[in-house]
Amino acid sequence: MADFEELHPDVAGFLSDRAGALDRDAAPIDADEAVHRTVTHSLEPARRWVHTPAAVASHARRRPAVAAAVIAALLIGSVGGFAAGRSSAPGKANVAARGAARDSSTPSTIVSQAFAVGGGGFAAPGIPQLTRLFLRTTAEGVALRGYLQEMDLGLQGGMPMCEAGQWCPPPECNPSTYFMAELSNDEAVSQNGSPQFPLDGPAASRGQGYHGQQEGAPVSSYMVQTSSDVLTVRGTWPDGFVDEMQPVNGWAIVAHSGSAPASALEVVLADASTVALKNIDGGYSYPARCQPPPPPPPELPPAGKEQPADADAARQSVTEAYEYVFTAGNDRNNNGTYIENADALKAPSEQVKQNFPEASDTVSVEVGEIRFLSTTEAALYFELKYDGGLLFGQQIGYAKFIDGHWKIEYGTMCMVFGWGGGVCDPPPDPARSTSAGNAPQPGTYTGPSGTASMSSAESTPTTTAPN
Amino acid sequence: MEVLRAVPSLDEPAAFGEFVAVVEPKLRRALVAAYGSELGREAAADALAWAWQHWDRVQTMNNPAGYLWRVGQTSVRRTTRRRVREVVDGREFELELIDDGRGERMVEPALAGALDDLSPQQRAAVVLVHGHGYTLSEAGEALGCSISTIRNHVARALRRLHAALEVDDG
Repeated sequence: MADFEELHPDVAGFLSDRAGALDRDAAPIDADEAVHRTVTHSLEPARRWVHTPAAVASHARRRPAVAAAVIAALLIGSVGGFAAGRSSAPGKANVAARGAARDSSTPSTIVSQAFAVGGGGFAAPGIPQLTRLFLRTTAEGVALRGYLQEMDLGLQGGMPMCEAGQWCPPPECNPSTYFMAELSNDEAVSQNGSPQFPLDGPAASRGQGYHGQQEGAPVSSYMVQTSSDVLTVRGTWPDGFVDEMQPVNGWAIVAHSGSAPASALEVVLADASTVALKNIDGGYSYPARCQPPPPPPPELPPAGKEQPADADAARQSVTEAYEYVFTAGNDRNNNGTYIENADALKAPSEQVKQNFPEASDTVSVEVGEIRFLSTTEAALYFELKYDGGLLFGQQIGYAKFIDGHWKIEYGTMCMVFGWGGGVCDPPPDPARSTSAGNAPQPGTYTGPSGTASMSSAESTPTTTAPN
Repeated sequence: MEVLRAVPSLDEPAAFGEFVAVVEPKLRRALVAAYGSELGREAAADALAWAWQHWDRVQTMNNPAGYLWRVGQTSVRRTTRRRVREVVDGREFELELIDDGRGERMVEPALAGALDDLSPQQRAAVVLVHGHGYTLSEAGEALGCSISTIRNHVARALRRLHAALEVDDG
């Protein structure tokens, strides 16, 4: 024990007891637990800056109100940013919010030191500039500022070092333009940010902000990146509150006082149609092209010695079975024609439809190579496509010739249902129901917002029931 | 937003096991001291899982324990952020701090409150040094900071604890 400090016996005893109690309550963690633990969120610590947000915020608490507001604008922190605590500096925060109401929407430029992305952070080479896009005060008095920041990504353009033969994100996945959202109300100031990624559709949620939690004045907010087709971004909360704004330079922020996440986030397009944005709960929609593709499935089993008399016709029938079952909108009452033991699969099918209605309503399939193992059995590659979540890529499925029809094998259906929480009874043959790539194995499902099947923090595990 | 990296090949668990045996106690004790038994242990487990997923990087670090302390802090922030959201579902939000009811001897009740009022770093530092008997160097390694920083954390923590006893420690 260090002997640099006089220690009161009561304090020494208290600390010793506390240490012992904590040791007893927190069992040791062995390597096996660590290896098998699923971590679904990025835990990468923010880089340490010379002028850390904490350090600057600490100074801000001792400075005049205007200085605190300016330092808030200079800082680009993690989701929580820093907050001017109610008890420590109510006047400062008041000034920051009122100042917002007086600002014009004329773009302005502020020198920044660093930028954070979704809780992580990094210092950019050079000194990037923030260009203010908009300032808006909501009906509840929450001031929302949006900034764009151009980053100097250095000689390599920010591209990661990718080894030969490995998947590498395309250049647009390492953008030099970043959006920063700043929120302020009477109690707190916070900041959040997102790269300006390529869009998969007309708009995407680029993160949910948590503001003012510790100050007792929470605000739920969303950054939304839009294309030029979007006229309005609208957030609706469970209590009926609606906040909306026209995007500026492809960005908007909507916010509502309270901790509740929005119940709907949507955009209105130029043709007056409305598009609902996904990943409200996770708050972030990561571009599909920036995610590594799932690894290819293993090789198909070898072809059998005996092949169907008319292999082309059989191949067509197998394809038809997969396309009928895995195409949204087809009559499910006919599934018995295309699925082995279809009656036993009704319960897991209903369960998956209940868990993932959007995926079930949008599913389609691509059938790849078909290889006949015998005159009555086939193995094939197939890939399901749907909206609303992570795709599991190409898989190996099986088909059987039963009662004059080629049907999707029971085990293949159980594999697909297993991705979304459907459990087959009787259980399928494991050899014919094992998922490939990043798809979860049967029995690992933990719920629509669960983690067992997730390979990225913001992806929602999903699957689909046959139409 | 990070896509999880592929785990190391299966022939490396032996080295990782040795690493965990060395680092885990100080990492767990630091995080548990800072954030309480349940939250701290979860954070330590998350940090070690992260270490396994980034094993190539971890092996090149000068002070992996200190880095994992920061990974654990990030995990705590993530966890508490998720818990804030659970308020919406009608569950009670509770930022878990150190349980103050487990002392075995009679102590001044204000000590527990004073310990909880410390910053996580101060709390971890003083519990590691004066609770577990770590040297300043060992505690600094666990928290990823210098000896002088640890000394300051401990000194400030003790001043607060002594103040709770109304002790003049001169």
